[in-house]
Amino acid sequence: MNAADRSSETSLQRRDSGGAATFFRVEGVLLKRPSLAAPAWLAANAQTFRQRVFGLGTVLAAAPLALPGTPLSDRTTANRLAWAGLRDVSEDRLVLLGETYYRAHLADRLSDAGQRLLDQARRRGDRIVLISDSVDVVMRHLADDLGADELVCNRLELRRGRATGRLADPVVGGHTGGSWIQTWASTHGADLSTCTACGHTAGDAALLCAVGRPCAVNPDPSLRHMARDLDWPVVVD
Amino acid sequence: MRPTAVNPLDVRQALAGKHLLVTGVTGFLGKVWILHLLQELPEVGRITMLVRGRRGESAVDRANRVLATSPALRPLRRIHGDRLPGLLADKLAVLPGDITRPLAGVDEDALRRLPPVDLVVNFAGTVDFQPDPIQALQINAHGGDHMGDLAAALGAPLVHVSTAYVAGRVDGRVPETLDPTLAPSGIRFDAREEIAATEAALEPLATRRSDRQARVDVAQARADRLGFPNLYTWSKSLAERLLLSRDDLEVTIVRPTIVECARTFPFEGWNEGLNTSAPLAWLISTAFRDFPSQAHHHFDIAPVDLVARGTTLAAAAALTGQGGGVMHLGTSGSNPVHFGRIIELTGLANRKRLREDPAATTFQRLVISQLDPVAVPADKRPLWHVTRLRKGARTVQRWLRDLDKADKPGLVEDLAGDALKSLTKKGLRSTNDTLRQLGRIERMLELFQPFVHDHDYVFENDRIRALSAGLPEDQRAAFAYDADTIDWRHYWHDVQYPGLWKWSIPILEGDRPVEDSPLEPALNLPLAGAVAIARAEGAK
Repeated sequence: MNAADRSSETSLQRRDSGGAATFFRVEGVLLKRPSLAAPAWLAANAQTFRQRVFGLGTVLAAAPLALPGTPLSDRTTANRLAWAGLRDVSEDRLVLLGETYYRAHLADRLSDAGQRLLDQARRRGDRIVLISDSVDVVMRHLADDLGADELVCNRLELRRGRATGRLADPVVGGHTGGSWIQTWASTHGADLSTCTACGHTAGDAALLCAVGRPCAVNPDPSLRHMARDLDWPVVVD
Repeated sequence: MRPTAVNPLDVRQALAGKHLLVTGVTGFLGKVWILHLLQELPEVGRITMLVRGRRGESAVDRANRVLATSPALRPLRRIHGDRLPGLLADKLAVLPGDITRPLAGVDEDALRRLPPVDLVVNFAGTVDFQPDPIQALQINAHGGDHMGDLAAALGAPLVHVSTAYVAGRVDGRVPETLDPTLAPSGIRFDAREEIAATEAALEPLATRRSDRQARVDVAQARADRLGFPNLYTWSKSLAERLLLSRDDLEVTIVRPTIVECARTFPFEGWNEGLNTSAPLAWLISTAFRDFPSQAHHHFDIAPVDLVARGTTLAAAAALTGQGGGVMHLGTSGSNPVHFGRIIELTGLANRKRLREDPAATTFQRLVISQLDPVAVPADKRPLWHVTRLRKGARTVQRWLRDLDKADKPGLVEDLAGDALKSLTKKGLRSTNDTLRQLGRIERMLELFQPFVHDHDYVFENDRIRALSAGLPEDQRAAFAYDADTIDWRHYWHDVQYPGLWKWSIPILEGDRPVEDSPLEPALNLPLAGAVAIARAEGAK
């Protein structure tokens, strides 16, 4: 399927029924790999050495912005910068190596806590919604393997079969929730008070606050404090 | 976009009960076409296969052996099981012949005994890019003409399978037309006179095998003057011109482009022998990465089952008065793919192969798989260019030879003389192998350069698509010319490249591909004349 055909907001939808949903922040909740590992790996496997050097350079430049809890921390900008290094990489390469990267480096790195929560959500009959700041060419395989109903992730903008280096708007970054989840709920006719959300960093706070059943999974120190203050359950591996 | 149908074309009705005479069925395309007909068109009357006996093996034995041992028979084996030999014997018959001889070597007696033939289809030909010109003329040029004579004698229309690359040294859109007297270079010539003049020029060089290169040079000079990059396209074009100049024959010329691995029939990835892209894929699997080609040029690939469908449509058209002229069986006219993309996909497929192949060495997995090929114009000579690599290997070879011959100081000779000698010998062997491999690569690149670098062809395929659009809805699944539905990423990465590694590249590396066991019970295809006699006697 053409990556350009997909909306970054909802790149995969299996069911469109109303009712309860469980939102999983992929990074930290389901997967233990840092989100910049994917652009770094894809850049290291670009076609030409020049593209490899350029791509790895931008990922390196983006790294300080991706560190949580620092004054510079801005995952949206970090994502924009890191994926910009894949400018001029072909769609063929992104699609084929995106799958290779997923199979080789992500498929067997699902967190135990995330898997347990996923099983519980399935048993409850919830819609499974994955939220990731990685890109669709990698994440669609995770969504397929987990049988997710919906995938919300980034998408590289393509022109004439090559990446422009820009992420299609709206970019999924460190902060997810707020107006997005309200829009999602009204579109799907869902009652957020019956929904569950699993977050990993303080950036997921808006998402967790918006639902009736928040859950902090392997939380970073800020989210751990927040969870303690608000009496949210904390799940660790 | 589906082209507007000129006329409805009912393939089943056109071919039902018809008797076809087909040559070249021991080759890749001919074999797939026959099997495609048997699978999809059981209502076809009879197929007489004109086959040449070879190296002491009779035509009948050869046809039986080639068909019975072909993996292409798998789908029919699956469907019919033990009844298959009987069914094949009922539909197929063998007519001994030789297209290099007048009337394709069919004697008049056999011709008389043959039941009336409705259509002649000629797949026979040599596909070697630089063959001995005497053979090329005999098989491709005279052979085509002899098939014209045979079709005229039988009073049947002829479908002649040529190649789209008879377009010669031209660029841009190639129309589905041919002016028999106009060469690609723009000069006017007569094909029959050209053949006679070439044969006269070759005569003094004709007897000695060692004069092969001289013969090639003489013929290639003539081909160059007319605008043909090699003797294959030159000789195929001469046949087309001879056939289209005749007024005693209804001839339809089909021009496949580069015929490659099957999409679905007889099964995904099937290929046979060495086709154009096998050497290219092999090159890319080595450390060689700067591929002399133009990234934006079109690469016209046609899966063999697509070409088989196209030939069926052309045959039905010839039988219903919709044939004649030239039809391209390619993809670039409606679903183009470019060299840059193909080269990148080949590199990606090679990575996957090395990752999954348990026989791949660590060096291949860690280094070779990371050397992604790129398209580089031939006039650029990067560090990795094959000419530079050869020069480097020659220098190393010279140093090793000097070292081998040099007088070593006594102490060195005493302490490490034997080890040094053995190391030098090993190094020399290795550089010789490298030089041989690089020489082979250089020759391949030279042969393919006109098609992958020098010229950008877009072969129009409107005629075959129009015929396809005229198919009844219930025949589209079996016969539609569906070039526009090919997903190149999937085809090249998951079908074509694995197919080449399974079926073609072992041949290139001197091995044999793993093939099915011969059909049991063995085939027993009858002799064409014998069937006719038996039927005549039965009628009495």
